[in-house]
Amino acid sequence: MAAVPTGHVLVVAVLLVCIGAFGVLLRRNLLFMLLSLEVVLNGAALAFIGAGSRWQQPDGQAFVLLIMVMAAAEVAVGLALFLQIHRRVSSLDADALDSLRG
Amino acid sequence: MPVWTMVAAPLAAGVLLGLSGARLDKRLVAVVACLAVLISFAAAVGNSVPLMAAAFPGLGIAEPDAALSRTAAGVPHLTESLYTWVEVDGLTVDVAFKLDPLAALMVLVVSGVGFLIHLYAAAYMADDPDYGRFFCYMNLFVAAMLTLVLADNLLLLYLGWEGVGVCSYLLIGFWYQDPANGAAARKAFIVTRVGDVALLVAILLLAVQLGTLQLDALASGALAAWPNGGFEVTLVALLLLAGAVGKSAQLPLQVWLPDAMAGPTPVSALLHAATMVTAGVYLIARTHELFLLAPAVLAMVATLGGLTAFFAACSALVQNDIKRVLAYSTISQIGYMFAALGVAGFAAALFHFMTHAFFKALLFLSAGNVTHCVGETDLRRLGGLRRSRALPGTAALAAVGAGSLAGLPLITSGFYSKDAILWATLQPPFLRPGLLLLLLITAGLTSLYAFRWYFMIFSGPAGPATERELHRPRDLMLYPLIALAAGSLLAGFLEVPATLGGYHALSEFLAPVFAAAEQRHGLGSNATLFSVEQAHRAELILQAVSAALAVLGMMLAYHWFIVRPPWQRWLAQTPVVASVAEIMRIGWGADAMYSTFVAQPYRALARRLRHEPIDDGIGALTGAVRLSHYLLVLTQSGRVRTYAAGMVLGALVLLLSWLWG
Amino acid sequence: MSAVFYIASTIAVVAAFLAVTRSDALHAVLWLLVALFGIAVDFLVLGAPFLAALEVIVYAGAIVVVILFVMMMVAGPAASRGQERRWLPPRAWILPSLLAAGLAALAVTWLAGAGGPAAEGTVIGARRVGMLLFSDWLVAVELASVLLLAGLVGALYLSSGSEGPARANGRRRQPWPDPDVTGPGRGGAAD
Repeated sequence: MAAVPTGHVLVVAVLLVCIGAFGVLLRRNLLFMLLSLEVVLNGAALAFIGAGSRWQQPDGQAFVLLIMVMAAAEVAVGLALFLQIHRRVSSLDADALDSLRG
Repeated sequence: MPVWTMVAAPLAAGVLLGLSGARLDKRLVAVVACLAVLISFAAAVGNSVPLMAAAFPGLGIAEPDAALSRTAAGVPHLTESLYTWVEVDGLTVDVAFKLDPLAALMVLVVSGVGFLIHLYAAAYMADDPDYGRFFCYMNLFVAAMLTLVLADNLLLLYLGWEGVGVCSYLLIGFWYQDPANGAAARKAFIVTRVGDVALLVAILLLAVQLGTLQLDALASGALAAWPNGGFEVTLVALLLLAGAVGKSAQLPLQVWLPDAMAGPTPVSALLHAATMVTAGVYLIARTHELFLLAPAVLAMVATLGGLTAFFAACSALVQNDIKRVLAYSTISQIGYMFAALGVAGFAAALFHFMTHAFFKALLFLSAGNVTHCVGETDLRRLGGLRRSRALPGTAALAAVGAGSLAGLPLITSGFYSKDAILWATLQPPFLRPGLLLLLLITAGLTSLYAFRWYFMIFSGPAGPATERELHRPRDLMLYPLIALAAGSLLAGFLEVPATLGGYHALSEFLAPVFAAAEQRHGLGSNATLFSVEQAHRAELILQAVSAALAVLGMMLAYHWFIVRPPWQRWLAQTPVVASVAEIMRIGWGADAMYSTFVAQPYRALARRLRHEPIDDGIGALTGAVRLSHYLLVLTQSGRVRTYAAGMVLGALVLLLSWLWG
Repeated sequence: MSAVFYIASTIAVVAAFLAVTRSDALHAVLWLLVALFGIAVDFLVLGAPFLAALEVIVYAGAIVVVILFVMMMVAGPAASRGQERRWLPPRAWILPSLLAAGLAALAVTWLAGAGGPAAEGTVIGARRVGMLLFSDWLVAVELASVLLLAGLVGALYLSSGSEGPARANGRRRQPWPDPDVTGPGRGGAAD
């Protein structure tokens, strides 16, 4: 397979992370925030794969595996929380959940 | 009787009356109180006899000289040391009483006049429900005053000093139900406190520098350790002067005495005329060695005395309250005594003290008779009481007092004592012709206001308050006055100047006390200023002048205040005269100045500090913390998105610092 | 083959952006799927076929599906579209754009020239990854399993009960009697 400059891989990863961050900051609905977080995680995963490929080590892929595990656990717990929130306040507005204010 | 009896008797009586006086019968209270002071007087007389025997061997009193001791300077004295009071490293102070000629003169006057006033007060205060309390305070006062005079060391003297201050406070505010009396008492106490603090500092300085407070040791120690005019002795003398000025109501601490007239008349007579206010004079006389070592301060004493005498006499001239005239008169006369002390005329000052005690007490008690019988204290509403059925005796006695105050020639003791002071101002090395002029003018004013006082009460047309039927004063309110009048007329003959006969009993009696100092500083001989005949003539001229002033003052007073010719009426109405009179009436604005420059700034400062600005400074710290809290809390919006934005911003900043750092 | 990488990356980035900015939840999820597929292709090009497969199976297959499930439970797509539009006024875009663009610009300038040999396309197979995981990274694997367990239990607990965990246990578990409630019938909607 042909070689891709490491810098370019990292650039793509950074773009994905920034898009995800943008989404977290932009959206008010909790679900969309979660989606954006998944984008961020994928960006990070891509960076790891790129690094592993550059150094010809399996470590990068192993770490991406762990990232996926973490993402799965996070999504599970997070969605359960969203269900609870929806039951209590009947909306998924992140701005409405400010009782820790001050 | 031992010397300490003089203090113990009134002290015991005072304590007894204090504990039980309210429950005792009034007659018993009066007997106990008067008896206590009589015992003091008897002890004073008894213990003074050996001293007089020592001074006048020709009297033939067969008292063994062994009862007396003599100091190194030859001063005869009776000393009793009761016990050691303070014993610390570097200072030992005993409770010791010493009776030397100076103290003897003081105790005789204090206990004698005090006894007469106690008798008077027994009748005057007879209707007062707090009879027991009154005599308790009076006796305690006498005890404290005698302690002051008999003290062998400055610490015991200070005890007496404070004691008379406390009793003065208690007695001025005797009728405490009226808050004005309490305010007057507080004013007296606080103003004299200024002087008391200075005196205390002086005592501490002496204790530290000379290691003793015993009076004889102080004198010799000061002579040995301190040069003439040196810094330490000047400082100590200045502080002692401040103490004396406070207690004796001289400039600038004279503002309390006119207001102290709020107390009962016997109190005014005893404390604020005859005895307590002369404590300053006694202090300076006692520590004369220190003052002679500080000639600058001595000159200040004379100047203060002269100025006070003049300004107070002006104020006395325009007062309308029967007792306030006498209060300002007291300030003025004590000014005379200070002036005499300032020119080293110690005997003259003490002579005037004695005569002043007689005639001023007499004047105050006559005023007491007037207020007791008529109930009026405003001079403008009195008049013609001489012709009333109730007060002719009082009028005659008051005339004696007024004449003695004015210094009517030859017959009144005031003439002789005032003349002694005036002559002393011409003695080198403290020659003060300017002071003499001031004192002569003041003498004229004195006669003027004394007779104004007399004529406005007792002569002229009957005033609005005197038209009703008056009751006679009780006997006990007249007999003491007779005794005091006798003193006012006869006491002068104790010290007759050379021009009129030359009988110097008093100064010879006091001579040993001041002899050493006078010898050292070259005093007591006026040979260097005049030749003997010149001195004789000068003294005669001086006496003639002062006599003329006294008589002229009397005539002018009569003409001005009783006859009131048209030119007087016109002159009194002119704005210049009226405004000057008003300024003099308010004591030359002294009270106003104290209020503006001392009292009000202090109160403003207290009000400012009430909110504790130092706490505010520390409060600013907590305020700043709280402010930063409020600012920082704004970042805690509780919203996840805000926190996420913060994180991204942080990452941004970190990256920036990495790239450019 | 590097061209594949760039094409897939472009698709992934664009799809990610679209996923993040859609108002319709379903559209957003679908765009996310596209982005994930693009990233999987990237993995493949970079020599990680095992993880490319896992990306599709786990991420696209499981995680996104779970999100879809909850989305359907929580918000009807039709109703949410209007709400999402209301929650995305133009001025809400300013700050996030600034921050994200700044971050992106910085990071890109920093990383674009990252040097060294290029990322080869040499395949690093599942065998090597597995060997690594179960030798050097054994503890990490065990910890990951514990994490999954925690996620499992947490999700189970949090989503149980009709009114929340408190209700799931019946009443509040207190060692002392509830002072607000009197009598045996400790029920009712008093809480």
